[in-house]
Amino acid sequence: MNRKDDQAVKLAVNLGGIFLRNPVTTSSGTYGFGQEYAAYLPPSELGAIALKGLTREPKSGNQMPRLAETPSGMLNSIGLQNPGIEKFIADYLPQVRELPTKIIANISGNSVDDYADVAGRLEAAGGIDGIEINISCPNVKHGGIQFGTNPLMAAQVTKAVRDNTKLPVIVKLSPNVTDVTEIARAVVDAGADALSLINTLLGMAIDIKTRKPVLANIMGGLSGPAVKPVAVRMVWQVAQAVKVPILGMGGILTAADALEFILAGATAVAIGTGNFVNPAAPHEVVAGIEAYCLDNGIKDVNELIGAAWRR
Amino acid sequence: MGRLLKATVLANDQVLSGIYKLVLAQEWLAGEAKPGQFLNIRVSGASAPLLRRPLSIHYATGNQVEVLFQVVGEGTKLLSQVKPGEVLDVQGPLGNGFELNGKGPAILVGGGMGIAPLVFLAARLREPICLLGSRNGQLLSSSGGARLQEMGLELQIATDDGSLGRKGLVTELLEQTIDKAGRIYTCGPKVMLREVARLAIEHNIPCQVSLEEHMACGVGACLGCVCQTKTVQGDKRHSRVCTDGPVFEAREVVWE
Repeated sequence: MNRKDDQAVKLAVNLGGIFLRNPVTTSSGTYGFGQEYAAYLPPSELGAIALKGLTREPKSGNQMPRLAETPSGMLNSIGLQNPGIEKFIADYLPQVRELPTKIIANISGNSVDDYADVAGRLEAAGGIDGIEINISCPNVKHGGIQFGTNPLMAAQVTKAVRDNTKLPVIVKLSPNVTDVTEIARAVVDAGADALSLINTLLGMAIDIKTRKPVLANIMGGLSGPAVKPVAVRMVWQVAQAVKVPILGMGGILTAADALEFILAGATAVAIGTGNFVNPAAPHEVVAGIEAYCLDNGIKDVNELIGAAWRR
Repeated sequence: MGRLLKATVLANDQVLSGIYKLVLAQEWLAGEAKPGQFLNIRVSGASAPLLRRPLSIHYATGNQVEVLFQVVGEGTKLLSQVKPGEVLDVQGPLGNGFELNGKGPAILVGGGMGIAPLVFLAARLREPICLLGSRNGQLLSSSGGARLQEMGLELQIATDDGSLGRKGLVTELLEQTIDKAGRIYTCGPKVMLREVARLAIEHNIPCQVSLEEHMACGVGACLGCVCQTKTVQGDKRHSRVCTDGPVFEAREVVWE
């Protein structure tokens, strides 16, 4: 007998005002503008898609090589290559809008003003359900991670975006800090509706044959299963430090991985590098979370959020 | 557009030390595949090596797809250990592939393991002339040279050690033959591609080059495998080898 027939699990979650049909999303920079994987996985199965990071001006990104495989992970140094906000709105947004899922636009900037401007233009263009502020990109010279490692600057960027849009604002946190809860509190106080974490860990690899760094940009961001324990730990810490919902990510390949994040305090999760390994991963994670709930008598996935520490 | 597929291994034989021919049973893939396209193959069910391995299609017919690969690292080593009967997780076919239509006689220029995908291409063209280069004759034969010969095509061969054909570079063969070419197709090491492209542009002959890069997603999402290209107006940009390529017109590529 199919248990689904007699008992459906409620999978819908509220990510700071973005209402997701299920808690599984795809992370920025790993899912293009949502079209690339549409043939592999119907977007309607996803809670949301976070778009590739956008900036005010077009960016051609870093030199090659941009990738290095590492033990159970990978380093990337793409450098926020993107067409710029104007071209995005004109050429890509019309198709993005049609995707049958929630759309989170990820934005970066060199200045506080850049962030506010891009957020405002996205809201005006329409079709975006939330803004994710990237203050944690390790691969660009200006902005990015500089904003993410200083609580005052992180708060300034958050407030500027907050003041310029009514859309839900998610701030994406960097793990490359001593105390992630300090930044988390600062951006929540400045008006963030939700937090996403973790972005990639700053790392590097050296080719012993050439005796040179593998990446042209020398350093890059580490992602994949290798970073998962760090990410779970940070979600655990931040979830207990702030009251806004968390979008947890870092090395998720399976439903078991995703459940760890939810139990640590994430309201929703994002699959990033896992899509490269298995484009069906988001589908499998949704199904696995549902099966876990059924097996454990959980009627609503929200009951699991932070269950590892909540009394 | 590629799909996520299960493919049963029919054979995985070592054709020369470190070079394997993987034969997969996958009817849909065999029907869809075009010369110059590639597969992104998962080599481990665990998290290491993490990424799929992008490998070009050597040949496809009926319900079979062949991949010829060289063991270069942990991922290809694992792939070399796969046994007949096992089922592989294969994503493909990926990439644009070669444009088969064109004017005049086709000249194929292959170097090293870059000869492998030209076998599938040669089978879909009308009597192409094949210029092949490799370190030695054994390698050249094993990476597709013997197969091209069996197809009864005109081969011109250059090897580094002179063990087969003439001693020298395949691009020297191209210099002598280029006047006969209506169009050129090439795959191989970057230095060779650059020289082939230079000659083709100099002689104003259309030339399709198949590039190679380390890849992550294989579907154009991650922007990890870009190369620099330029428009007719000379505007430079980063194009994705996986989806904008891997085949580019020689003039499009910024070679320096």
